[in-house]
Amino acid sequence: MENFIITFYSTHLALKAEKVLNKMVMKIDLIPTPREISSECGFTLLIHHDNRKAITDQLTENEIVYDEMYIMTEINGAKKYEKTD
Amino acid sequence: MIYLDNASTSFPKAPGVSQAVCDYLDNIGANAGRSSHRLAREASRIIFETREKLAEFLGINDSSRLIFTANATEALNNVIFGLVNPGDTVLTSSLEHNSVMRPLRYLEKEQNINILQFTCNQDSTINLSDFKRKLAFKPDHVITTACSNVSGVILPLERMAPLIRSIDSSFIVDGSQLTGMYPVNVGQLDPDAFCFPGHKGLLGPTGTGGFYIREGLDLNPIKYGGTGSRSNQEIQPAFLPDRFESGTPNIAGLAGLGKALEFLSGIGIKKIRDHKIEIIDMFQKELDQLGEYKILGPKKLEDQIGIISVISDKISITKITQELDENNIAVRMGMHCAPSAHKTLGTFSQGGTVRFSPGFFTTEADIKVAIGILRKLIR
Repeated sequence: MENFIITFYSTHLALKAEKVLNKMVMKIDLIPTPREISSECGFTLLIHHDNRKAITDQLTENEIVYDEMYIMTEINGAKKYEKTD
Repeated sequence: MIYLDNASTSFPKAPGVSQAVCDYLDNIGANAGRSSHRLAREASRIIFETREKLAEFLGINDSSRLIFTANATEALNNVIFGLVNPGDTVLTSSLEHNSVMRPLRYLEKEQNINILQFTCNQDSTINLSDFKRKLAFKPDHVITTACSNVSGVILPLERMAPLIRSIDSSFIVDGSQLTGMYPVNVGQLDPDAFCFPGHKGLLGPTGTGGFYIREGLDLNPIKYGGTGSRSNQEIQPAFLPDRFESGTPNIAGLAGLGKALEFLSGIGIKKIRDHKIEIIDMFQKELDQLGEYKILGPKKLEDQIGIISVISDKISITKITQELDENNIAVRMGMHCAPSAHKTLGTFSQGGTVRFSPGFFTTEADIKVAIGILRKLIR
């Protein structure tokens, strides 16, 4: 299981993404965008899931464009964000 | 009070609306789309959910194409000023409300636009032959009400839409009296823009409304400013809904509108329409029996949204309205912000009509009381 961070350029899109991803039965949190990540929108989705492709497929299927996706790891309390391809 | 002024704004509102407004004001209160704390997220969610519910209610696939405004007038202003260019020709009906006519008259004076109006028959049903004749002038835009706020006549938009599309004109609908009262699938009708209030048929709070714009329509905003998005840029965002929603929105009102939409969806638009037809049928028959009052507008129930305008040869509209008010019945007399419609109906020179506009919560007993007062006035 990995922690994915997805950023969006608008609040509407972030909430729309949350709505459609919720259907995949996964844990999703709408969180303030971490300051380490540059984003157009103050909200970001934190998703706990094991299949990155399933997430992007669901977004594409629902015509939801996201800005960036990161994998968040935490080592000794320090969070690290690695941008996915 | 028996409230028969729902064409102005609905009353009472849907159950739960005032509680939803209070809940936002008392327990959330934060701005939406800007800050990222929990209360801000909850406020953003209120607007998002209301937009999603409304899109579903109106048959619109992409809810981001629904823009919230303070009312239908602001929505129409945004669409008209955002779309009509200097020198354009606009075809409109002879039934329009001033929320359409005043922006158009302003543009006629200041930007030399040409205004054409298609005529209506004496009962205010549209003259389709004249509509087709005016379309031959190939107007750049057709802006029409879906339903008169004076006579209640429903315009045949499904028949008009393909004719408008065939000349490549833009198609703008003022859905003020239709939305929430009559089955309409905006996605299927496919106008370029559809404007609506949130506080009339949708039974939401005053200060709510909006418009839909179809994909690919190039429309300029009339408001520029903070949206919470692209905060590092001084250029207005191009994406929806942010492009048209600068400034803090009416979150309390939208919380109420969301609750109203839940109520309407639960009842179903068919039941809402059926109830209105029953009320109007009864009202028209009772009025006819009194003999004194002339109903302006269509007699066929299928052409009628549920707005009954009347005049009397012997009793002034002021006397009728005062007598009703003294007996706790609320109606609206006068021009109803639609001088063009009154000219069509032949009631302009005498100062207009008395308008009865029942709502979803109006009962047959309410109508009987109103008829009783009207009967007493004749004696």
